[in-house]
Amino acid sequence: MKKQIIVALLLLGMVCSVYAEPDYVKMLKEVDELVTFKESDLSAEYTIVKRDPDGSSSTTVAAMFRRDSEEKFVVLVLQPVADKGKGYLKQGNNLWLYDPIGKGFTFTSAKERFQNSSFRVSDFTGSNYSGNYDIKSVKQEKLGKFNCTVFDLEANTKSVSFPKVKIWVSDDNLVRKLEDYSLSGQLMRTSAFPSYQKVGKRWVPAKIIIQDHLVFRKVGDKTEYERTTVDIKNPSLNKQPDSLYTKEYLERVNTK
Amino acid sequence: MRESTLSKYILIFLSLIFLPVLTWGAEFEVARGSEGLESEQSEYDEDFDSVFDDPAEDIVVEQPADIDYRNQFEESKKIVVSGDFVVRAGGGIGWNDEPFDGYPDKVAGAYSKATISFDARPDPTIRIFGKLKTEMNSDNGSDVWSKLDFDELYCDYNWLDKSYFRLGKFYMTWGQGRLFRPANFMEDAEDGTAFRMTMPNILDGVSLVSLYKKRVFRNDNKLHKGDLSFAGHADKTLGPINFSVAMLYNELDGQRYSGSVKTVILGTDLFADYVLNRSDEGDITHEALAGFFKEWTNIKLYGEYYYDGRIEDDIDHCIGLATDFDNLFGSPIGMGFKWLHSVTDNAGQFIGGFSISPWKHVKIRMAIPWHYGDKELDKDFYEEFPIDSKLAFTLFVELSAGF
Repeated sequence: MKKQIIVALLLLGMVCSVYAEPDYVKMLKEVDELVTFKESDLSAEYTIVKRDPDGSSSTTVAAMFRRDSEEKFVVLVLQPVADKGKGYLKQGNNLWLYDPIGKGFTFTSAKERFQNSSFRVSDFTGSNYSGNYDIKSVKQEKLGKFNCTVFDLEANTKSVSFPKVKIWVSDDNLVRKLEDYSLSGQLMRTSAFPSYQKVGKRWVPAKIIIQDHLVFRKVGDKTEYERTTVDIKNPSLNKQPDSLYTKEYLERVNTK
Repeated sequence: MRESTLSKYILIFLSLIFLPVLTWGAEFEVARGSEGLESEQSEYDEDFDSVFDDPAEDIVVEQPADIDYRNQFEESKKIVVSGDFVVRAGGGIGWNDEPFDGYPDKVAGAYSKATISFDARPDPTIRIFGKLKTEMNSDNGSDVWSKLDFDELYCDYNWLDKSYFRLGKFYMTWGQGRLFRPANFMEDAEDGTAFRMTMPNILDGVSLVSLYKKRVFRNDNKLHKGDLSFAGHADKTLGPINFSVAMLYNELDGQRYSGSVKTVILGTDLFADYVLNRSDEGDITHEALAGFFKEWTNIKLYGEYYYDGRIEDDIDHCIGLATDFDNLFGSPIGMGFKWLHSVTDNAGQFIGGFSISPWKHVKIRMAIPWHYGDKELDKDFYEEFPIDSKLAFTLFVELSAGF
């Protein structure tokens, strides 16, 4: 009898300890919900500065329009002037680009680099870590002034840009740092989200810094990587017409 | 058709479709670093984390911006004028008689083109766009500029963001092919006048077009049989596959119907077109196309297979391959080739070459055009190159500028 009581207590203890663990899946869902604008459209101005390892840099300014409830977004280039009106339309996992020379549309995947920078076209949207990835491990870590929960995630779908990612989530459930890995575990890209801006009930990064680990140059003992800085300004929740999120709109605003 | 011949064509078709998928199947990323990647993992840039030491505070936007970014694209206070000028001159040696071991002909020529465009968007509902073009091609025996002509001139009207109307002379491209274009029913639009109504919110876009193009040159303004064509095009994406259907009716030529599918697998565009032609007399013929397109940072690659069953006694199977490399190994050198081949006629056209851009606005181009067999697959294949030899080695200097 004594033996049975001990076993029962041990089992109870195990169950309690399991329930004492935070619900990380729920936490990941909250991470996604905080940056996903289901209730309204979102538009903003993105300034993307790419600095090559050789020191040269290029700047692109783009207007971004998002309708997360329908998984659509449109990005239109404002600068450089030569590319003004060049546009991307994402519908689900599909991406349309208008080709002003061929007067037709390219239908491709949303993993494309944006204007040849480390910023991906898919980075314009909110996240869906809870849907696209499974949690492999979790730990706590200090990141500068942030106390973070670090998630090791593996993709459960092929529609994502990277099959493995590691995210640092601060106490307010915002992703502060992201590492993207290839299937073999090669570090591809590191992104920092040092500051956010709250628009309505949701959050948009104010600044993103991306380091591309595949584009680098050795100078003596030091390795210089391609770095892309993204500033997101003047977010707006104005409703946009349905026709904006169509490929016909890309053709209409193209200036070529 | 004999069974072995059919098998050959099926093999070519399957190879074109699956070659890129197999080649790039294992790839998730293209490594672009200048050194071994494995060694890089241990050299993580620790300075990167310093951005978290004292970052800017998160902010709450009390009043989201009341900005409509669309205005920057749909409306302009000024008429935007732009233009470009290209002049290309050079020469080479060429042969017209196979086996190309005789004394070569000397090939020389110059080509110039100037365009000027204007784009007026007085308010978001209306736009007027025009592009004027003139050119001089010494290969045509011309040493004077052609008459200044409108390459495009059209007016757009946006009706309540529900329908877009376009009237005038403008280009449209339907169908998926880039090397062969059997489903491009709008090819005549570049020489005609069209009215197009687009409804972007129906399915994933529906367009109705009426196209006017004179069948033969004449001075009267009467409407003749076959001058007018009517067409429709609809698009719908379901999951990862884009479907489109189109039809064209011309009183003289009959009807044409097409169905297309397109998808992306492992970053490679895969597509297919099927075309059914029904002549005025009721004869039915078929055309089909399948192909792929893959793009890396500086490389583009196209491959297509085309079945042309329009002429009963001359059914053809063609393959095409084209590639374009920019900034080869980080240098100002570009490289590319385009090859079209008729399997049935064992004839084809090839052009391959290099280009170097030593200074801004200046490009040196070396090209080897080769036309073998008796069949011409693309009349514009050597466009802008003053070449009339079957095989040639050419060198051209090109000066171009735009504003």
